[in-house]
Amino acid sequence: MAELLRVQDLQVHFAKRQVLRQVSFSLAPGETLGIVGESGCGKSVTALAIMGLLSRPGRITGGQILLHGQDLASLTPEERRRLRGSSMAMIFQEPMTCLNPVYTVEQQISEVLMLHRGMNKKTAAEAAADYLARVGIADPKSRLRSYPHELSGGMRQRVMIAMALAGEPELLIADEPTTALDVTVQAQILELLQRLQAETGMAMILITHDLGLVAENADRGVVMYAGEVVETGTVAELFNSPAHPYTQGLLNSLPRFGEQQDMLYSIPGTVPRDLGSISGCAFADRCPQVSADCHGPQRMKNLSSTQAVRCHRAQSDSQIPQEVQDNVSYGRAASSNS
Amino acid sequence: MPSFVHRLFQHRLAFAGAIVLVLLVAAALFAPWLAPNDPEAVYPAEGLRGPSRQFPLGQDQLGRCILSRMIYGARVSLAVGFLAGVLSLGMGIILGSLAGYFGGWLDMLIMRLAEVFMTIPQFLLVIAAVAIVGPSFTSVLVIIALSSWTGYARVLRGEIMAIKQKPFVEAARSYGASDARILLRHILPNCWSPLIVMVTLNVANVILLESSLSFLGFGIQEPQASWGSILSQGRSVFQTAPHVATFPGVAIMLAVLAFNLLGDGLRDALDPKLVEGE
Repeated sequence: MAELLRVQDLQVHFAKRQVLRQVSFSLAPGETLGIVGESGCGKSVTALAIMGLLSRPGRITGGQILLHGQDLASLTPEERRRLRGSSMAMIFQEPMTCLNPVYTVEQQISEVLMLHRGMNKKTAAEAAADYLARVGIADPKSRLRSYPHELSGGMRQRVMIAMALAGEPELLIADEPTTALDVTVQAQILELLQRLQAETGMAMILITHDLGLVAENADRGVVMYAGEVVETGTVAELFNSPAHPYTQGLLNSLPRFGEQQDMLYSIPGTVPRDLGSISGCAFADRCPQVSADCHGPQRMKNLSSTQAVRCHRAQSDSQIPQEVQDNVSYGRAASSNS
Repeated sequence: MPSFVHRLFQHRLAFAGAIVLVLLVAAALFAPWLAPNDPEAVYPAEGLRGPSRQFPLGQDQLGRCILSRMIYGARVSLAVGFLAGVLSLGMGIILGSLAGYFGGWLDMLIMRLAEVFMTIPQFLLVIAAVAIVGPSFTSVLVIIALSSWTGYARVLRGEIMAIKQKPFVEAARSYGASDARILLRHILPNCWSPLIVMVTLNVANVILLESSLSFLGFGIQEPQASWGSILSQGRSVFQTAPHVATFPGVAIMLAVLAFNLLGDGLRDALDPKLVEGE
């Protein structure tokens, strides 16, 4: 299958501080890629870099982002702007504040339609109602006249999704789309995203700190730690044979359903802040299996045609611990407990 | 919007201010029909007479009708007030938007320029400038506008810098809105309320400034009438003919008070914290 998006050795600095190191992954049309990791590990920065929305002092200092094989860095800012909304769209974590308080829902959806689909005010207003209906808002005609403060969080996220959809993008980046919503709404929104993806054939990058969401919604996953990709693989591989100690740690810290636990497992320590000073594995300080070799440079090692890991200890026939395998079936429980 | 108008009219003082302003504007607009006499006709023999049937507010040194001169003077005061207000608002919006939205060296440049203007007392600056280019309606207007954009620019810059960080701006960027569109359609409409309040207070200030200039003889020149210049004429004869200085003084006070009351009411009506508290 032809690639839709390839991110190759992407590096991002915020002023002098490096926040992304050699991030690489690719995405096929219609595919869903989950990007997982703790806060501050570079998930959102990766998304903003792809969208071309990094703002000062952040900038891309190395690597490439290819859309249909074309390097996005070669485009002018104006060409780049035209891509946003039409080829790639994004939805954000804060549905409460992502809509402009002074405009109605109709005006905001129409704006995208007029910008990217060349519609005039009248046809855009009619089309806006269809998009509201498609994202599952009841009585779309009257909701069009609502202002954002009259809508609930879940409704606002649906409106955001309608706006993203209105440009008919090939790629939708969802940055923690359900983190701010309550659990029942969370499930509805993810279901909606999956349905829309099936209808439109768009690819999706789902950014989350919740492994359960990746298990349920993604085809493949990228595990990020401290600004680099530590493991990639299909969802089955990541859950059945996690090769990086960090991925294993994340899986172990999911709550188990129906099992008495005195305390949830957590990975000791925090994400290092200064990546410039780290030459070896960034996770070494927190890794339970650390050894002398961990402090040397680490390369991505292919374990299968789809799974790769940045850990020198990983073997291609890595053992599958039974307890980790069990976690896969708890994906739903984990997502509702976050 | 209707709820905002409703809130404004519940504010009694603001409502009173609005009525005074409507009356003043009507007086200015319909001056030729409202004025009982020609404001520039002189009756030297009847100088400094008090109120009478033909001259309801009395006559000045040259026997001119004070009421008629005040009605025509309202045109000058309100025109300078509104035009200078709008002109300085326009300058403030352009410069404040550029500084707040783009930041960097442009922000640095504009804000230092604003600070230069703010360090010189406005009245001194205006007098000096009028002394150089010569007093006339246009020069007074332009000079006052040039010296009072700084407040707007600073307030707007702050508002824009705060709103620029809001997620809906990033969302607009993410669906491909251009800088111009984001600034004009997404950021500025969220900044109006403090500016509307500032405009009313600024217009009051401009009216006072123009009256002061005319009082000192740097503003509107004789024989054209201005509240400030009538007041100035009345100063020397205040003990013998107090009506000459009193009536224009009251007019200036009422106009400035009305704008301030309206501004207060607008601030309360537009304050989002008070709206949510209802």
